[in-house]
Amino acid sequence: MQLACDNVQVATKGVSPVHIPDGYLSPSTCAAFYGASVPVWVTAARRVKRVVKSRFVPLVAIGAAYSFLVMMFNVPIPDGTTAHAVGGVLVAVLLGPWAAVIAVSIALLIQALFFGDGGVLAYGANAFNMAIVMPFVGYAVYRALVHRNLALTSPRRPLGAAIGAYVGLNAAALCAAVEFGLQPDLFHTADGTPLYAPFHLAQTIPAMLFAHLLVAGVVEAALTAGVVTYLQRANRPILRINQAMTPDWEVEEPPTGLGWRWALIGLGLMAVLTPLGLLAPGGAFGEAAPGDLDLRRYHLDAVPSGLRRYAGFWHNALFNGYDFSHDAHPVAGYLISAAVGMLVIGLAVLVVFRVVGRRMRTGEAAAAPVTPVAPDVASPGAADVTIDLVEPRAARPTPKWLLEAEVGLCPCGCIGKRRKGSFVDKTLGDGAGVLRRAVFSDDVARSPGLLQRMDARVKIVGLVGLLVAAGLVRTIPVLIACYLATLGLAAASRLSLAFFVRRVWLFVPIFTGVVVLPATFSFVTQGHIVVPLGSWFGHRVGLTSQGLHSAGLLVMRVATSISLVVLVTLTTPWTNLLAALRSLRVPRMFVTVLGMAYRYLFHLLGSVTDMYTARKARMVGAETDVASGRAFVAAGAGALFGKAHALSEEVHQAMLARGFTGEVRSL
Amino acid sequence: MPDHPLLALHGVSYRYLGRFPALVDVSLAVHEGEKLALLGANGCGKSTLLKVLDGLVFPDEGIYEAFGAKVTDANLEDEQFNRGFRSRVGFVFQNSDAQVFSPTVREEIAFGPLNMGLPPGVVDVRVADTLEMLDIADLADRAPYQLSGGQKKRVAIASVLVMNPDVLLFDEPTAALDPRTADWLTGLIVDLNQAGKTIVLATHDLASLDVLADRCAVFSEGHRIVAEGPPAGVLGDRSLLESVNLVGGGRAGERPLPKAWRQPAK
Repeated sequence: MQLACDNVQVATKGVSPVHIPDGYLSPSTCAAFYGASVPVWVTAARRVKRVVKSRFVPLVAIGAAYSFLVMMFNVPIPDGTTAHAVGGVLVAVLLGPWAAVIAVSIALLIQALFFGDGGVLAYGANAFNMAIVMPFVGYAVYRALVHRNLALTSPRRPLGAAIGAYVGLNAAALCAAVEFGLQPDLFHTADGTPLYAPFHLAQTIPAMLFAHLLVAGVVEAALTAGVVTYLQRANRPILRINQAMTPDWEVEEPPTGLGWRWALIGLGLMAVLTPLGLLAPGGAFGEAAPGDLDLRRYHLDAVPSGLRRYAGFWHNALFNGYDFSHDAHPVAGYLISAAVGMLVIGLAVLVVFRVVGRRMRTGEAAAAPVTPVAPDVASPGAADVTIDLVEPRAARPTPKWLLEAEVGLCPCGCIGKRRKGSFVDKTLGDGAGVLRRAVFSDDVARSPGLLQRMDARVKIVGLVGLLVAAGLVRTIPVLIACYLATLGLAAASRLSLAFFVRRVWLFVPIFTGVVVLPATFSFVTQGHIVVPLGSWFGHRVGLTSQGLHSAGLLVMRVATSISLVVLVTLTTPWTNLLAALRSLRVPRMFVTVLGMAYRYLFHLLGSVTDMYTARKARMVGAETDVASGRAFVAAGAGALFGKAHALSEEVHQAMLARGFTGEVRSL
Repeated sequence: MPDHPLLALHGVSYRYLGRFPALVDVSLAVHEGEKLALLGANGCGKSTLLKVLDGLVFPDEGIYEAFGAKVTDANLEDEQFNRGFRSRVGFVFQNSDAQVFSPTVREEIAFGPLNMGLPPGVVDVRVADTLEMLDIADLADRAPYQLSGGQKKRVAIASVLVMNPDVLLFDEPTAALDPRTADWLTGLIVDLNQAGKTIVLATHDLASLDVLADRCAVFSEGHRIVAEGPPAGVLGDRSLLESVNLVGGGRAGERPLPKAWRQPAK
């Protein structure tokens, strides 16, 4: 188990751990998640459109571009490295949960479709975790803690947003863990070889939650709180988008009641997810009561005994006399213990929240600013906003310090120690990377070759068909043949093979290879031990044939799937991809939003790059202060949201000016 | 000049967020076939006035009439009125990036005519003609982020011209353009005017004002129109331009540069 934890944590630093690539989930699982997500998308689109009317397209498109960029912000963390946030709860707090569903979904789709990050088949599952569960759980927690009428400047808002972000990200991670963890139980061959992700719930849930509870969740919470705090100070009108009627400052006694409705929604959502977590150490789906589990298989004694004790505790202490016998309703017993457990945790969070909130409020009351801050990029035509004061423009003396030279370069010519790349350079590098990849794939797509000549519609349909086929293949030689076929296609399309192989295999060993390694041990995958490695409390341990077979299957399947996606994204200009989606009957509105999101992604990327370059230009001395770095990132993300929103308003006006009424027409 | 103005504002006031005044009691008439320039310091309300004229924001007080009909939020909800008004008034935004929102230049230019409800065949012909006219046919399938500032401006103008509006509103058309592109655009505006289009533009380009405009309206920093007249008269009235803080009265020259800045580096 420890092994699994470490390895998933390694993955955390490379790729967002909740971004599931193709090949990890069975095609049927993927289909199920598409099925679950589509009705949510449709409802979300309807609800957002009803509120914002003809603003829908620019608002959602630029919201999606913003979500994409927020996932790119490197947040410095104390161990000297940096981490990414997902931003799903942040967008939900700023734009509302329904708009967040669409914005984050489209950001993920752009990553999958145009940049080849995250799977195409697994997109449904990724969207479910990060664009549906995460914003809704996080927003429910936020709204349960922050009343609608609470002043916009209240310190409880960023605090509530932080807790929401923390819970939301962990809920998303839990979903991903459950999706992974169900694979070996649902899909395996007769001899027990897992066909897809090889780890069981007992391994995936602790591993994913360990990484997220400790690192990623904290980063997510810090960024979310930082952005909300920044906007409270610098751009309050932005916070009104989702809070139209809320007063800026507390006028009277602030309402302290909880948002019960949202609290219930949040608890309900978590209740759906939690039993799976509680049942993790069991066999499949908690069909068995704790006593029936063959726990010795896992060589785990601590967790099951705890579980047994809890089950017993509820049984003896609370539900004695009710009909919760061990044999009759173990699942109901778990559900109830889950509910009670959640209630206890919820109350604890609430108490902490109340105490901290009150303390911060009294602190703020002493230093409450009196003058309202003028909005800087608040709204359309913000440049026109001036307070009507005719300011005398008499000559003002130049401050004296401005006339004196600062200490410049050292006269002896030494420049000083070189600094390692900071989060600033990293984000700049990431930004340049996005642009480079877009320009590169545009060049490749316009060069002559086999796949370039093919119609984009054929390529999309073919891609989905081949991904499903690769997902269904169960023998390694066939998968290897498929992979070699992708190499052939790459060569026929005049792609540099060295580049193509590097692009795919750089990802496979780092993520898949490392993650899959422990699955070859008999701890994880039972079976014939072909490479004995000694014994453990009397059991023979070693690498099993089933484990090795499964690892080989997974690595080859992931390599083939990624190769297929990379082939299509590299050989198709994205405008053709959009046109193909349109003619494949993907709703026009959706394609328009997707295209606009992609277009403004680059525009906003320019703003981010400018912001970070300006920071770099003024950086004197080593950047060692993590807290100030984080404050800069939060301010950057906050200012970017202000810019993005002003831009969406202006784009909306530009669309209206040319006769747009909310109905999308295209050539 | 015809008796009845094409566009007319009567005592219009507008506040952003209900709080920050941008226009105060503005009355203005735009006559058919004229070139009207709006002058004033940054933040005096020129852009807001253009947005009012284009029916993008609506006055808090006062009346806006276009082509003899009142323009209100409710009127523009009417499909026929909306189509008539939008196709007769075109607006070139200052920020081309906000205006050029489609994935390709061709789709960008087709956006307006498609919304007007023209059949696809007619749209294709119009788009091709407009691309040709503005000499950007080679950019047709490019994405906006690959375009330079000048190219984006051409695309933005094409996207408006393709709808063949009677009135063209320009917000600082020559700002941030290189001199050659700025000259080209000045020439284009004059040509369009001679072809019968009515032009309203907000500008800081005082040097080409006598070419760009027949008439000027000057804004004060109190968001009011304080003077109207031909370019020569307005430009000749130095005290007027100084009182609205449009020009600086040469005070910058009175203050010498700090000595430290003039010393050569050692």
